[in-house]
Amino acid sequence: MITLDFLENVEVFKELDDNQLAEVQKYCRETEFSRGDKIFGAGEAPRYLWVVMDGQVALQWELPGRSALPETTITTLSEKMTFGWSSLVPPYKYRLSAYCSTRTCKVMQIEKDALINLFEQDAEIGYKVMIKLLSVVGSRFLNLQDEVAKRRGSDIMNQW
Amino acid sequence: MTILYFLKNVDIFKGLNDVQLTQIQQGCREKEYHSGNRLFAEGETADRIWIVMNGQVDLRFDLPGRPTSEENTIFSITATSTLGWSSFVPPYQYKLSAYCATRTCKILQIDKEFLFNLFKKDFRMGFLIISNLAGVASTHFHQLQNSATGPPSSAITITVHMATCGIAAGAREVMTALMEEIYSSGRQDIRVKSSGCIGKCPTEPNVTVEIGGEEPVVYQKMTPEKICQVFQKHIIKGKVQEDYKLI
Repeated sequence: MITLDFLENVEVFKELDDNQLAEVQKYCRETEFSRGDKIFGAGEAPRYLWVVMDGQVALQWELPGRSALPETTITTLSEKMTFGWSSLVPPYKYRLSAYCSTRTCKVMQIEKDALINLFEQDAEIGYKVMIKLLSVVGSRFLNLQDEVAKRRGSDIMNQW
Repeated sequence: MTILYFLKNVDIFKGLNDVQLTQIQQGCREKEYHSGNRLFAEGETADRIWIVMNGQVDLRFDLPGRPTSEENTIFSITATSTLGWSSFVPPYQYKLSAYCATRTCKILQIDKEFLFNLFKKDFRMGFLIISNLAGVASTHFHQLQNSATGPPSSAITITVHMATCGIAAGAREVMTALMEEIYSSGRQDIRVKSSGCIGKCPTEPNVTVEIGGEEPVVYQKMTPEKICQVFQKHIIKGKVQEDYKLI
């Protein structure tokens, strides 16, 4: 059971009041993964927005047909952090892959279609969640920039 | 062209009605830049959004202590596209630098605070604009992924002509479909650029494909389906799609 106490501290739901949180709560479900399990893969069509409840999740930058290497992890997420932002942003394709990186991890999945419907019916919830979600995209952009800088090295980067 | 008419076609205002666009219009400021002028630099405080009205703006990943160079351009944007989503994301600093890449370019600026005040009174407007801005940030994320995986000098260049006429005809959808094809193929030797009108408005969206030293091929009236076919058959297999060629 996902509690309102947990939801109100999730980064993308921080602006919502109790009534609004209760609306979101209806579409939340808890699930568990073990170390190395792939939660989703880059390029897949998303069904859920995800939140870490316990343990850690690694976001990896993969190219199709290539296996993930440890150094491709662009960031590791812990409790109350959101991932899978592409579920709510066109063209609705995961840009990164997500793996469980601790012995086990507990994550919350929220039906993307139900969320989009909810936003259509109640624009205030939509606005308050999307402005926080935009920040999540911004943080990933910074993670990616760091990785790009690391990969390329300044000399090579200069030749782009 | 009135500003209101222009605003209707701007990427982040998709879905807004005329009343909402009229309110936004009141916060718009026009500015002009010349070739090489910097609009903003990475790390500067982000407090407004920037919409290209005409000309081209290059977004660059400048390196500390080095002069800026076209080589560092991650992507270019043209009319009706928006920059400055960082204004809505803590710590409110630009993540890339932006330069005027044509002889002149005209920009519309709108202050973040002005928009926030509108959003407080109209959540629906806030929801639509912030969702559209997330779409812009997502595209930039994808462009950064693509430019970083390509080698320094790509063997293949695909140019999507994205002036207002091209965008009205569906060039943005063509660009999105193309990016997805490239991503799915895992190819790292393809560079995608956007550029202005080639003076063939009735045949927009136009796309130019340049492979190695071969003669460039210009395709006309592209759609997401047609560009996928061009990608699979011409770019991957080397067979020019004569039916879609611009004559």
